[in-house]
Parts: sequence; C-alpha cells; structure tokens
Amino acid sequence: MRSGVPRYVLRRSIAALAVVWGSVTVAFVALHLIGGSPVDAVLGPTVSATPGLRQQIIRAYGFDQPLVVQYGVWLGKLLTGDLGYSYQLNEPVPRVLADQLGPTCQLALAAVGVAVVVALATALLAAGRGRVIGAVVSAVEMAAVSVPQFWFGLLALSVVSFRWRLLPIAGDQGVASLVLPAVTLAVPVAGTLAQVVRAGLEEALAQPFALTVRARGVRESVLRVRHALRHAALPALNLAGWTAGSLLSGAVLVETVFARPGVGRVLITAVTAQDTPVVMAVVMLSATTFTVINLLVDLLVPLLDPRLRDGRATREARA
Amino acid sequence: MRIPSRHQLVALLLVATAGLTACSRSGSAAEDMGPSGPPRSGGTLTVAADKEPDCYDPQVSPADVTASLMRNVYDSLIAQRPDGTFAPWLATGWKVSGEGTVYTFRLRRGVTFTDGTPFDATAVKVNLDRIAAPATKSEYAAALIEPYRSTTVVDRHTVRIRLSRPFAPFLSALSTTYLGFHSPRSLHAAPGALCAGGPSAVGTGPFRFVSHTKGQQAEFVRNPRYAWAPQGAGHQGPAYLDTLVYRFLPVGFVRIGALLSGQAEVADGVPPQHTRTVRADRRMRLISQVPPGVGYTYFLNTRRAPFADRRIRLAAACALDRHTLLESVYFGQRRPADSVLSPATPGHHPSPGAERPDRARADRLLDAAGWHHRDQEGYRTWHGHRLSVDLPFVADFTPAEQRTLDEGVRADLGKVGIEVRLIRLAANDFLPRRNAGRYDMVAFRWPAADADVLRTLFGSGQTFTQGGYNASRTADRVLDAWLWSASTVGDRTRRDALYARIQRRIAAQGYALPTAVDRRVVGAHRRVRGLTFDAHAWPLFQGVWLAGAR
Repeated sequence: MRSGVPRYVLRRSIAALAVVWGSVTVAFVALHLIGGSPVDAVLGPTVSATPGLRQQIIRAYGFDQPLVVQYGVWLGKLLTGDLGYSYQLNEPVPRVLADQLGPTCQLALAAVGVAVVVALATALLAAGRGRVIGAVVSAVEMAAVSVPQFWFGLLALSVVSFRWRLLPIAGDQGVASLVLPAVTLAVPVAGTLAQVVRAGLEEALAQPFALTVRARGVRESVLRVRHALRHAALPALNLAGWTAGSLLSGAVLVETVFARPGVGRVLITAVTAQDTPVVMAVVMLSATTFTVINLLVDLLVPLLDPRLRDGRATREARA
Repeated sequence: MRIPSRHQLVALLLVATAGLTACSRSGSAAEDMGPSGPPRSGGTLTVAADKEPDCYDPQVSPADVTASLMRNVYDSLIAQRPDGTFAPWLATGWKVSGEGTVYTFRLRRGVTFTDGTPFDATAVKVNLDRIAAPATKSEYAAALIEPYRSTTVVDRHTVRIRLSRPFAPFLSALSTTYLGFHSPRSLHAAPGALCAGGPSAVGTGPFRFVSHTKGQQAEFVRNPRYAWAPQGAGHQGPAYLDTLVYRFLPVGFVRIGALLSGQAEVADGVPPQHTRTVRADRRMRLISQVPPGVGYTYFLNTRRAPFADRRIRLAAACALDRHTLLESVYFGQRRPADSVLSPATPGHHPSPGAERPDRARADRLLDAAGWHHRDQEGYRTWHGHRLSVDLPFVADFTPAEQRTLDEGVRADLGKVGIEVRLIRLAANDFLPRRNAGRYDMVAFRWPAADADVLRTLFGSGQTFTQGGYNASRTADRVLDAWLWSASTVGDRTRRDALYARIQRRIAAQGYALPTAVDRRVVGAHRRVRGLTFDAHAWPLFQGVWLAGAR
C-alpha cells in the first residue's frame, strides 16, 4: 500500500495536467467566441485608432493568423513558460501577477484561518445543545452564508475604519489592514463550514460509539474534540475545493471594496477589458489550485478515515 | 458572485454617510481658518484617487488619469493659461515662422532629469521623434501633433520643430502631459517598461515616481533640485511635500470615508451625492474646476434614419429639459451646457435658450417631418413604423450618474413621442457596432484644452475607423472648411470667430446634445494649502503644503 501512494500521486498529477489543459483551452475558445476584435482590447475601452495603428497591432500580436495557429503558438509558448504580454498593461503576464499573488494568498489564508476557527468554535460549542441554541446558531449561520459581501465590507469599513478609526481602509499594509478584508471574505465560508461541521458533530454524537466513550467517563469536551470532530471533519474537508472557489470569487469583491492589490481585482479588470493573456493565466492558475487542493484532500481523507485506506488500495489493485 | 444593484448601493451609501456626517461634525473645527504663516515643507499627502492608470506612459496612453497623475513627474515646454495664452516653462521663449510651420524654442538652462541627465535640445528631439514613431504605438500624443515632421537641434539650448502644415493647436498640445519629456536615458534603456510606471519613469518634474503597487497605490517623493515651475506659478522651487501618495479607491463611498476619517487628505472625484457630506464637515472643503473640452454629450448619428432628418435632431434638442434633469442627477451642482464646448475652453461660444425645453416646437418639427401619428404607447409613428432610436452603451465604462442621465434623456424624448432604446452591450460587442455606425445616439465626454477637439469630433475625415471620434458621422463641407481654417489660423481673434460660427452651426444643425458643464470636484482637508488646477483641470501638487501639526 505504501508504494501505491507515489503511483497514485503521479496518476493524479497527469489527470490534473489534463484538467488544467482542458480548462485553459475552454477559456481560450470562450474568449474568442464572445466576439469583438482583440485589437480593441489592446487599444483599450473606447480608443479609436488609425488604420495604420490597427494594422501594426494586428501584425505585432499575430491576430491575422487563423485561430488554430494562434492557439498553437500560445500553447507552444506556454510549454516553454512564456505566458505572453498583457494587452492592457503592456507588461509580461508573470510580472503582472507576481505582485498580486502574494496579497491574494495572504488574504485567502487569513480568511480560511478565521473561517475555520469560527466554524469549529461555533460547531463545538453549539452542537447538540438543545433546540433554542440550535435555532439561533442556525439562523446566524444562514445570515453569514447569505449576506452580500459587498454590503458587509462597506458596512465593516464605515463602522470600524471610518467611525471608530480602529483599522486602516486596507491596501496591503501589514496585519492591521488584513483584518477587515479577511473577516469579510471569511463570513460566508465560516457560515457554510459551521453548518456542515455542526451537522456532522450532531450526527457523530448520536452514534453508539459516543455513548461508549461517555460510559468510559471521558469528559464531554474530549469526546467532542478527539472523537466526534474526526467524523465531522470529513465532509468539511471535502468542501475544500468549493472553499477555494468561493474565496477567489469573493476576493474579486473584497479586493475592490478594500482597494487591495490581488488576483481577483486583476481578473475583473482583465475580463472587462478582454485582456486575454491575463485571463488565461488566471484561469490556469485557479485550475491548478483546484486540482492541487483536491489532490491533497484525497490524500488526507484516508489518514482521517481508516475505512477509506483499504478502499483506495483496492482501487489501485484493480487498476 | 453577487454585485448589488446601483440602487441598493446608493441607498446603502446614503444611510452610511448619514452616520459619517453625524460623527465627523464632532471633530475639531478650529484647526485653521485664519492666516497660518508661510508655507512649510514636509509631510506626506495622500490622495484618494478614483481611477488607476493602465499605463503610466502619457506618450502612449490616451487616458486623462495618466496625464493628470504623471503631471507630477513630467514637465512640458510651455504651460497653458486658463485664458488660452501660454507661459514659458521648460522653454523660456519661442517664435513661430514659415507661415506657422516652424517653431523655434529656446530652452531653459540648468534643468536636469531626476537621473542626472541634463534636459537639452537632444532630449526634446528624442522625445518628439519617439512620439511620432509608429513603433511607439502612441494612442493620443501622436495624434495631438499629427502634422509633426521633424526636430532640429540648433544648439544645445535651441530646437526647431517643423510641421507639415500650419497647425494652431500645436502650442496647446505641447502644454499637455502627453507631450511631457522622458529622460533620454530611460527611453534608451527600456522604453517598453515606461508603461509600468515606478522608478523607470524619469522626468524633470517636481516629484520622482518611487514605487507602484498595482491595485493599491503609487508613491512619489519630492525632487529636491526642482527650480523650474511654469512662469507665473505661485511657487517656483521644490515641492513642499516630502511624499505624495495616490491611493486607488474605486468606490466613491470609500474615498469619502478615507477623507473624512483622516486616512487621506485629498479625495478626487467626489460623487455628487457625497458633496453635502463633505461640505457639512467643517474640517473639509470642496475645490472644483470646470475642465475644458467637450462634456458628457449625446452625438446623433446623422447618416441613419431618423436622425438623418435635421428636424428630428432639433426636436430631440428641444425636448431635453436640462435644468430638471441636472437637478435630479447632480442635485443642482452642474450647470446646463450652453454649447458643445465647455466654457473653460478658449473659443467657447454660448448659444442661448438651451436650458429650458420647448416641447411645442419639438411637436411642430416632428409633425412637419411626417411623424404625426401616435401609437398606443404614445410614440410617434410613420406608416406604421415607430419613431425609435438606439442608444447603445457599455455598462462597465458608464458611471452611475451617466446612466441616470441616459434614463432622463429617454424620459424627455419620450414626452415628445421619440422612443429611446438603451441597449446595454459588452465592450466587445459595442466597439464593432460603434465603428460601423450602427447606432442612433452614443454619448461620451472628451476633455481637451483646445477647441480643435471639435475637428476630431465633427470633421468628416475623423470617423471611428480612421482613428477619429466623429460620432455624429457628420459630412458637412461647410463645417469641414471652418474647422480646417480654425486649425491653421494662428491669430487668436480670428480662430475664436471661426469657432463661434462652428458652435452655432453644430447647434443649428442639431448634431449633438450637450448636457452639463463638467466639473472636477476635489474634497480636501483644510490643512491642505495651495492646491490649484492647471488649464486642463488637473490638480497640481508642486505648490501644496500642509498647515499645522496633526
């Protein structure tokens, strides 16, 4: 079984490459299907240009080539690590993204941290505590899931930053400026995670093993943290891919409201301006993130749940 | 992803700002209304800016925001005064000869770029040649000096610029940031990197561009050797501020919050619904200036029915109730436009009676044009066709106030029986449609410091496909001839007389519907002293200083 893990990782990595390739190809086709001239994208939103300038752009970017050729050229460059030039910013795409990745990762990790802590605390404290507490917590969770992030962000800013002047608006200026955006981004994730973990905990606590543990005289808190949480963590872990997705889409809003640099803000500008090379790079980046996260989850789950270890071994054997 | 609708947002902002006003009133108001001594050096000023440049090279980018921001870094040969005359700047004097095709500039001595390179005749030549070179892919600067032919270095401090024809707007063009000067060394090293901004952008200006974080801010520090402000500027020497920071805050409410909570000293682009909040705060003041050029204007497509008929264009002009419209969109903070040119443009000529609608005249005009039947919804018809016009727009590039204006225009024209269809498009659908002339109206603004902008907007050779902006698609020989003479005549009085005739003709033919006189509204803390605008309504920070300690 041990030797199976590297092979499994290798196979999954190849599949992951296929997923990434597929998603960028779909993005490439989609960006060209929505029509419009890429020359306009290079020129900018409302600029009109002399025929000479247009011709020059067409030649410089190879827009006169058939789409298949453009795709081939793009893919070939991609394989050599060349992500191309941003139409709008006139800079190599890696340089556009380089400064933006750090702030987004910081924001996302901080938000995950906040969400996990809040969700676990809520779930551990509130699970199986009677109908009234359950209803209140459930209402709060629902509110967290449904509150529009744009609105929440503006409200947080106007109270905490403008009125109380406790924290700066944002930007990327140390820990203080990370608090409001991270909390804003964490709210819906925390709501969902809390719901899932709490439901899992309640289910686990109703199982016969919980009774056995209690009968051994183990304290309630130990039962919850050491035994029941392990059961409840599985469904939450499987949400990791979804979490990554909602963090990225949330980052688009949060980065705009709080004026933080980041991939989300770059993405929205790039999509609006049809800045194909940048959009493609962000798509590739997010596809890679998704597959890596899912791979990690698949590797982690058997560690948490012994029942699944054999399952995978059997799959391996059959293959 | 969920983005709240404009209405939800506006409602929220109103509620939130009410709270802000309440709290900020309690702040100390006694800070400094009286005289506070001579200007003092030092300090950091943060500007909450609404837009972030895509490209920081004004020789390449056409964006107003690039020109405005990079004014801190790049100087020009001359400066335009509000009355349309010019003051010496990097050039101490100039003369025009060869019937307006040869300009000789004497350059100021002792000017250096912040990388130590001297500013001399070669620097002027290298820059102008670069703008005109097709490889630069200049999207605006090259068009501003379109008849440029060559520059000759006469001696170290004299240049002679030759044009292919007399070109009256030349001096105005030279006064813009678009024709500011890069250090020849930075042009030589990596011209492509100039778009990215940051330390690679080297000019002779009062500030150095030290760093730039995309999506967040741009930071400038004082150029300590600066001693060549335009003649007549209040302050000649180095900037008072140590550091100037632009924070890019695209959400209006956040900009105002930053200003009122002391996280920024200046907020650019104060939205009309927030001016009261800023004014109510005694620590703050509003400074505003009318920019020259063409304000938000509806251009009527003269080559497509129904606006091919002059009577219908005029009816639309008569139907517009600018006064009421602006009252509701800008809360009375904008005056109705009395010409297609803003009053800040040299050569502006008002045509009276534009403020109030004349629906009776609109009705007469439309009846006379044959559209006297009405359908069930009250729109006029002709042989069963409804009188309707298409107004395509791109939501991403249309600010909220303009969307409201569009709705108001739709309502006003509806009152005389013209149906306006607002067609929301993505940029990639809009541009081919615009360039092919498949619309009845389009609307935009076009800031420019010279009335020659009207040639770009109404000259028959200036179609979108030719790189111009003739959105009315006019092919008016009379107008063409006048516009051409106005662009070649050097004499100011004769030019003004021509532009008066041109503006009267544009109004009489109903080619365009101007709406409001634009205004650049800046909110500033009262500690901020010496903030002025140049002739382009770009704020100038060289003479700005901060009064009192915090």
